[in-house]
Amino acid sequence: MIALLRSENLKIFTTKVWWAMLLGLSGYVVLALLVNGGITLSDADNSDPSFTESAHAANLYTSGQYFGILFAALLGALLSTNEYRHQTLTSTFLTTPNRGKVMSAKLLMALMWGAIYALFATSLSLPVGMGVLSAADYGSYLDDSGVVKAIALNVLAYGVWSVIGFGFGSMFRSQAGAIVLIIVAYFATSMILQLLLVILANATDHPGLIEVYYYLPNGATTVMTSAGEQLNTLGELDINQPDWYVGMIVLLGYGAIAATIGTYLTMSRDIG
Amino acid sequence: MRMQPGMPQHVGPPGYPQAGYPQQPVSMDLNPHAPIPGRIVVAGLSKQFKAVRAVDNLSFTVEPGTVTGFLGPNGAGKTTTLRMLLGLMTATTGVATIGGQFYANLPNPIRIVGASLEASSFHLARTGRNHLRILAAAAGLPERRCDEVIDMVGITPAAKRKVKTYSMGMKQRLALATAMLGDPHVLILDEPTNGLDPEGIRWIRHFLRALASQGRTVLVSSHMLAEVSQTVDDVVIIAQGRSVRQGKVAELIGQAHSYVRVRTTQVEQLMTLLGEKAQMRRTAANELCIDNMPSTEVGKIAYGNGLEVEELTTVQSDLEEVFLQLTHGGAGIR
Ligand SMILES: Nc1ncnc2c1ncn2[C@@H]1O[C@H](COP(=O)(O)OP(=O)(O)O)[C@@H](O)[C@H]1O
Ligand SMILES: [Mg+2]
Repeated sequence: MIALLRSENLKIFTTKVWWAMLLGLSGYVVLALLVNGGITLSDADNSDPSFTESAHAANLYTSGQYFGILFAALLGALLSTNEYRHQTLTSTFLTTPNRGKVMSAKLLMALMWGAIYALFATSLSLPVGMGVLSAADYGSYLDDSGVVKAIALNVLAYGVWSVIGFGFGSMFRSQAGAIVLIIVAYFATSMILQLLLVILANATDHPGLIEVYYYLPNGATTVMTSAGEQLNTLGELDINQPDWYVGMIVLLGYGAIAATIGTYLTMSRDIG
Repeated sequence: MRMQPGMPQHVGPPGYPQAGYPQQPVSMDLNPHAPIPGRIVVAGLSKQFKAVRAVDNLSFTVEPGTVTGFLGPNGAGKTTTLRMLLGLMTATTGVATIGGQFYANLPNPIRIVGASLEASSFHLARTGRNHLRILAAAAGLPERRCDEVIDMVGITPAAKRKVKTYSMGMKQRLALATAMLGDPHVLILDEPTNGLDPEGIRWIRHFLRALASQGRTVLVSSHMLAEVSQTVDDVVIIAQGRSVRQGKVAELIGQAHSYVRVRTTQVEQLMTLLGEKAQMRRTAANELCIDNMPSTEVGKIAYGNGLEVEELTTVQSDLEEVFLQLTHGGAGIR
């Protein structure tokens, strides 16, 4: 297994995808830090009731998550579809015919590289976030267990999203297809579906419908990485955000489903 | 010792599986399914794609120490057969084994079987050397082995260049290096002569012959009989997924129409000297073709009688013609 991990790691390091994506991610994280920094600085008197001080801290330290997890998913998809696009899966499986073993190594790699992306994003947002918090006269909140948990789970979130992307890639094989599908599905579930749920909830007077969002991959990620306090941006509606561990279980569930389907299909299909 | 390009040798670390591998032809064995190391057995193999029966009840064996040509026009089912043999595709019916085992069940298979399926299956942005390093890492082979096979196929100067800068011939050599990585005693090569110039074809011929003389099994596919006829001992010819001919390539050459062509200014004298037994055709004013006499005999008569002979050749009437007849004119696109 160590040999396979080394081989998979070499595959990543011998092409440019990983750092091209990382470059894109860092650009976006910087942008997110500007926005989030602005939000916190404009709320220096802590007058916004939906944002506690620790929520400000968690929001800053996980800056860029909204697109960051999409980057992680796309990286995962690239890792799996590259082998189809360049037909290198043939030599991979000739060297290691045990496809389950190969897929396990690849999934571990996807998880690890997702986490590496998160650590990279955190390495940018941690110092900037601390600076912004002190400028707003807030504490750094790095001794707050909720904030530390949010930072740690943010790393897990990137990893799981990379696995989800990997699973999608393994299902669809076509690189362009998988990328388009992931981007469309991402915005469909995170924006359009959320909007529809709000409209539906208002129309039927069932505010609980909005909670469905928390069980979608994106909502579950938000739940898992918010700093304990409820991050309720929907004003007067009475919504209950589930506990963070519910979000974690839901997200891990999506990761497991994507990984299982992708692996199952890869193990049974003809290569070539 | 430095490797000479074009001369495959055992260079792997001690303990490679070829140690103790039988170098002589294997003893007579009447059971074709007996698990002989290095013997490839394909038995009743079929593959049905949606509408196409790509391989249809195909059976053949490949003996260790021989080079076997696996021939058929494009679309005949060669690659599909090899993919089933290598565990990349599941067979609709039948089995294919190497040394009595399924490829997928071999422990660390590339040390036993080296295969290359398409010369283009490389990540174009990777260097040739990195392509090999990735596979060596997965198989637990030392990185030094990558440089050895790179040297063996003679692409050392290009090893650290991206594959997209490679010519077809260089890609074919890299594919061969990939197959040789584990120093296997069975080689399975899909169209290794595709896109090669005559010099490249000659080089690969020597390479494969050297491998076979070391007792290794070589199965090499091609859609051009002429490209491999001088390389292979045995042939398995398929068309539309079915076997149409199996046997020694020598028999096939024998079956091909061969004749002796003589160029001389003294055609009439030669015709008289050869007499009535000779079946001959005068193909030009100074050219005579004899169908039923070996060139040695024609030569003896001509030179013995002091004729001035400009040229005396045995013409191997197209082996390719025999191939086309067997494969029904090459109608292979399905
Ligand atoms: N993955 C596939 N799906 C459907 N049809 C295929 C597939 N691979 C090959 N074929 C078809 O099977 C036949 C045999 O193809 P192939 O084995 O590649 O022939 P060859 O290698 O002899 O040129 C062809 O008709 C080809 O179109
Ligand atoms: Mg082919």
